Amino acid sequence: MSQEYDITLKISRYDPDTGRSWIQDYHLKAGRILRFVDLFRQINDEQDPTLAWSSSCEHAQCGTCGMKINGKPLLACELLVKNAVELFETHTFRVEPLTIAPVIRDLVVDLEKAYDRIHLVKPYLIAPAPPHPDGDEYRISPRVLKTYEEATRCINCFCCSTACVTTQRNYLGPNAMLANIVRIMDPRETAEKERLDVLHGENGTPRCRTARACSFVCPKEIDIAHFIALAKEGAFRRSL
Amino acid sequence: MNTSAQKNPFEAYLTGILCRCERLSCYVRSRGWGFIMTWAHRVAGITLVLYMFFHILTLSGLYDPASFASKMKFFHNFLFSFLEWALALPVIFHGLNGARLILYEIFRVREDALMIRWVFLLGALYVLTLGIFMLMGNQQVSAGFFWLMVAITSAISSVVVCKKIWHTKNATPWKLQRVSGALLLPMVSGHMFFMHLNYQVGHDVETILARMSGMGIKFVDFVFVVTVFFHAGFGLCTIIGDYVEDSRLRVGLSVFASFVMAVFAYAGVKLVFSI
Amino acid sequence: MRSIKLASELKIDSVLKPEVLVIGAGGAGLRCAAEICERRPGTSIIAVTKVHSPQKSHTSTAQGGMAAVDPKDPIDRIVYHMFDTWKGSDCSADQNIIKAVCESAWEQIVWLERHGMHFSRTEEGRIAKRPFGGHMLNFGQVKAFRSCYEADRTGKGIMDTVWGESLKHGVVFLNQSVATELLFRNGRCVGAVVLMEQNGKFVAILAKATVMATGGKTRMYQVSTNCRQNTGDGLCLILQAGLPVMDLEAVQFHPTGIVGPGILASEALRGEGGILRNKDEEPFMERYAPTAKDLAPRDVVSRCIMTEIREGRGCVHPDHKLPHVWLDLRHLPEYIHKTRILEVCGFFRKFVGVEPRHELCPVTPTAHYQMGGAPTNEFGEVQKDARQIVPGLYACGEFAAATLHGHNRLGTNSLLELITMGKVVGERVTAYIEHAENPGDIPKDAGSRIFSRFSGYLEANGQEHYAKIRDALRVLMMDKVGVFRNEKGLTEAIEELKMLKDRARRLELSSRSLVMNQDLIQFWELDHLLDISMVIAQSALARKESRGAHYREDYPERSPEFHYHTLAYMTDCGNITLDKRDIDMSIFEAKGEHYEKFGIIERKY
Ligand SMILES: Cc1cc2nc3c(=O)[nH]c(=O)nc-3n(C[C@H](O)[C@H](O)[C@H](O)COP(=O)(O)OP(=O)(O)OC[C@H]3O[C@@H](n4cnc5c(N)ncnc54)[C@H](O)[C@@H]3O)c2cc1C
Ligand code: HEM
Ligand code: HEM
Ligand code: SF4
Ligand code: F3S
Ligand code: FES
Repeated sequence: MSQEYDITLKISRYDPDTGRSWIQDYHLKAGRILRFVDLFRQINDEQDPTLAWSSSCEHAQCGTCGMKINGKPLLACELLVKNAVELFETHTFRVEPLTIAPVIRDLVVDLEKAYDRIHLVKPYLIAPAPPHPDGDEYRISPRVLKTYEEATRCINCFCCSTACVTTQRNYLGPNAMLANIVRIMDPRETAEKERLDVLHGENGTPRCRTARACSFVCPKEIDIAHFIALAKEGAFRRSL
Repeated sequence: MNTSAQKNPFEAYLTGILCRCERLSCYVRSRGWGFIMTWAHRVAGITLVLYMFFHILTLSGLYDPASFASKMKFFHNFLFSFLEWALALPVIFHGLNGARLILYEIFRVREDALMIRWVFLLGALYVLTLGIFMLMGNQQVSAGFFWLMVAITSAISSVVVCKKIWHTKNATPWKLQRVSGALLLPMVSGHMFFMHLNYQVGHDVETILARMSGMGIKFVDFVFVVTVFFHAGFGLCTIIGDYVEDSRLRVGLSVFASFVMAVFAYAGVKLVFSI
Repeated sequence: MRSIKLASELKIDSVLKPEVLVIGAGGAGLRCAAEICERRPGTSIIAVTKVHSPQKSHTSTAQGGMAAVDPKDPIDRIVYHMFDTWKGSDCSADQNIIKAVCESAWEQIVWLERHGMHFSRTEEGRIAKRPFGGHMLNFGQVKAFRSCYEADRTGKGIMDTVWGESLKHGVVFLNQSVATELLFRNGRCVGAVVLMEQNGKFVAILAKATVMATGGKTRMYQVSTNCRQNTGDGLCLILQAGLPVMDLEAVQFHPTGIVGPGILASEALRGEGGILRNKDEEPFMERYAPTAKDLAPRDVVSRCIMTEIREGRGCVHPDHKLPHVWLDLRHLPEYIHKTRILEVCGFFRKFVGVEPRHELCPVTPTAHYQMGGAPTNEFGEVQKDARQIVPGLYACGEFAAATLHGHNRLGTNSLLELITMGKVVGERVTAYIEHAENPGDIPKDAGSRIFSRFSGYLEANGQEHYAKIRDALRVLMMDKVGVFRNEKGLTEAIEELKMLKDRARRLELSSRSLVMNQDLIQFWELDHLLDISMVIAQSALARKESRGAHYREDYPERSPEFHYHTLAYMTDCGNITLDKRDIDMSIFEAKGEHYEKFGIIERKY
């Protein structure tokens, strides 16, 4: 049952101390259900302790381990070797960091910079509606919730931003758009004007070309393009 | 994982060809078809911009009918006919794909894979029929009737789009981009078709001049040229906005692009009204 | 850039002076920060976190929900919740905390809701609730609908909400930064030294109040649900400062972790009829618990699985090389697979490539939660012994032991603790910084301890390999300080830990850079793992009884003699002093309504 693959990883490396960047090949034997993060750990343990990569939860819940593998932005902690072999039909994988922010070392990018764009859309209720007269929770019908619930699953892994045709220079990025749109759709938010200004501002909707690569790569299977299109259509409170 | 738009045999064939190109297939796998369609849309758009420059320049020859005729003769050979035919590809692809984007974005048509198929299918049909008509030569279709139809369709399609998005809070040029797209789809595809349906209308100096002296045609061409250059100009500005981070450089380039577009638009308008 | 030639080059690059320093920007830390900002707008707060962004903290992975009784609920009552918590803790939780937490639970849920958490809703649009293990009505009679949830991502909902609130109020985040040393002046905590990994600089952060919320620590176990960062740094900072840690022997194991990654496979699987089987596909739970079978409590099931494995009836996973048993879901009807357990089964598909509808799923007990932590009083003030507190130092969340959970935590009570205790600490800190003196200048010896440590790593020129020690530790802990403990195993473990610690002094460092040098950070973390493991083992050895998650084969019963919390001090590895702290029995002693339920009761389900 246990099957091993001979895997070659071509990993982009960058050393901030010398400013050198290069591609390094690692050859390893890997069980079929090891995750890519396990492979990196194996490299650290057996071949090269200097290879830097990042992860946290290691089960696709936090969005720390996003990277490009054979060009596809994905979470390295949910990609099993056997699935990768099936998906890309090869045993050689090109591993690169995401292209949303400067690289700190090897595969570790400066997510803080990437997050700046999320901060721009204010990922919180700017002005919550007054509470229910009873003093407890605001009432939201499950049907209303359903219209935007999917979008609340975003873990800010930035895979979508990396995949998007629009470069990340002047675009907020699909996930920041999503974070904004969710809160316009949320009946508790009253600062609609402020949100719409950012949404349709120069770095917002006009930059999205409906390439749908974001939806295609999203590891949480959120149809981001759908939400951005709703925003363009102005259909935040959809007829139910 | 999301599905790509490949089901029926025709398409399988088509995608088969596309996938043979390694770079493309890598993108299909890693970003999906939408990604490729968007890039193709962009490339087609830019091709059309370049063609428009060329088009206006050649049409300016109409000020001097004799030289225009000789130029036309120069273009009248197999190679250029073929290129003319090939031009239909970016035209119809960009048009239909633009329509697809408009449908997805503001008419909430979410069967994107299906729409992509239609883009390919209708596009192929258009290009084929155009080719057949080019081979067949002159058809003598009533110009007045044809243009009336095109003008009406364009008006309806742009008004429909306009009504649907005008109340939204999107940036105005962005909205105009969609409205102009909707107007251009019947207009450009019709224009190009007609120029080959009645071959002389598109290539013969006298026929062109005679045709262009009509007020109705003048009006249509005027709207046409203005819309095209607005649409293309804004398109270029958004592309610039994607790549140029420095805001001063960005504004500078955008102003420059808009200026060039305005110059061409002006030349086109002047042409329409001075002939 | 920051490549170090000589260890003596280590220095503090700059000093920051916020009013409050929060170490650990997880759910608890940020709930606390948000509370401070709300009460006292304009307070300058710096929150430090090891991960790339607060959103990546461990709290984001919690799924199930958090328990809270709406005071207006016609059938559920707060006292039932209090009772369940007390009973669940095996009579070792502090009753003042139980009371405070359970009573403010609903208020905190509403706070979250008002600040944007996307709770799942009932038809009337109110917050939906679902039942969860151990939560009952009428003092343990029927299951209660008490857990408020956001689909399968309650923790993420909390994290997003408190992170958003903190951002809104201008809390400054230092991401990818590790707190490496606590700073004290005259016994008062005045901040910490932090290493910013992205640029390799040490900064001293001086604050009037320091809140620690660095979460759990179970990465020293071979299979663990905890994220990669949970290496017990916070506890070690406390120990290194000469302060005690409490009840570390209480480590909760979840019976069904997915082999390898250790991901939690929810109890719901067995709830829907999943059956545990051994190597010979025998449904072994029938032998151990003839009535409850697979649905016996977490600790019981964990023990049975481990027994099977120890007695050679477990399997070894071909890829992960780990022992495990099978969870059989093949017989469950299609609609259950489709509707009720789709997500969890997805984990099996995604991470071990098994199709639960046709194949057996490999599971093994997995270290899940630390009940103990830094001892605090009911206001979250960290204690230096059973009575006195350390001024200026606060703790909350999984890191703190107040303690709501005693020796065993009920599902959904942890998230509740984050937000309730986070708020309490926030309140307390606000009051404290109002009149507290400024921390003054940077203490003279600031950084000396951590620099000497790092010098050790940087100058190390041994041959030992980090990964070997780490793996040895993880196997050792799982084997001897895991689900089962006994005198012999624990003593051996302590000896082996000493040896590992020795080996860890002879590591070989691959790069002397300070920028994002994972190797260096891992050495530092390894030290922590070893130290904390030592405390766990020693505390477990001293507690000669079985209580909650702490199970001694040689003393399988709970004993009144040990009715106290273990306090452990350890300044260097192995050199441990143990002390005691009383268990608060205030509800019982107040002799109010139902007080008799809060005595020393039997824990039986
Ligand atoms: C799979 C899973 C499911 C769970 N489900 C539930 C559930 O349904 N209900 C429930 O009530 N509980 C649940 N729990 C438990 C609960 O999630 C945790 O107890 C809780 O999230 C801990 O939160 P925290 O804020 O204390 O710590 P964390 O969220 O772990 O945050 C700790 C923070 O401290 C930082 N940090 C650590 N060390 C340092 C350092 N040296 N310097 C600087 N920063 C540092 C980390 O980066 C992080 O930001 C679950 C746990 C797991 C693993
Ligand atoms: C035939 C009808 C046409 C339609 C329906 C149409 C539609 C569109 C649409 C909807 C867009 C926006 C794409 C986006 O931002 O997502 C667009 C962009 C663009 N169009 Fe057109 N268009 C048409 C004709 C033209 C013509 C004739 C030209 C050139 C002369 C042109 C040039 C461009 C350019 C340059 C862009 C920008 C491409 C980009 O942003 O990548 N289009 N078009
Ligand atoms: C190869 C096929 C084409 C031929 C033969 C052709 C021919 C002509 C001719 C003869 C005119 C003069 C005006 C008239 O007769 O109405 C004209 C005008 C125009 N054409 Fe085309 N055309 C072609 C393709 C295109 C395409 C693809 C576009 C759009 C991208 C386009 C855009 C225009 C515009 C905007 C005008 C108006 C110009 C003005 O008013 O100055 N044409 N074309
Ligand atoms: S939308 Fe999807 S791909 Fe994008 S950041 Fe969120 S989870 Fe990642
Ligand atoms: S990929 Fe980019 S262009 Fe729009 S639909 Fe997605 S954001
Ligand atoms: S490590 Fe959390 S998503 Fe991969």
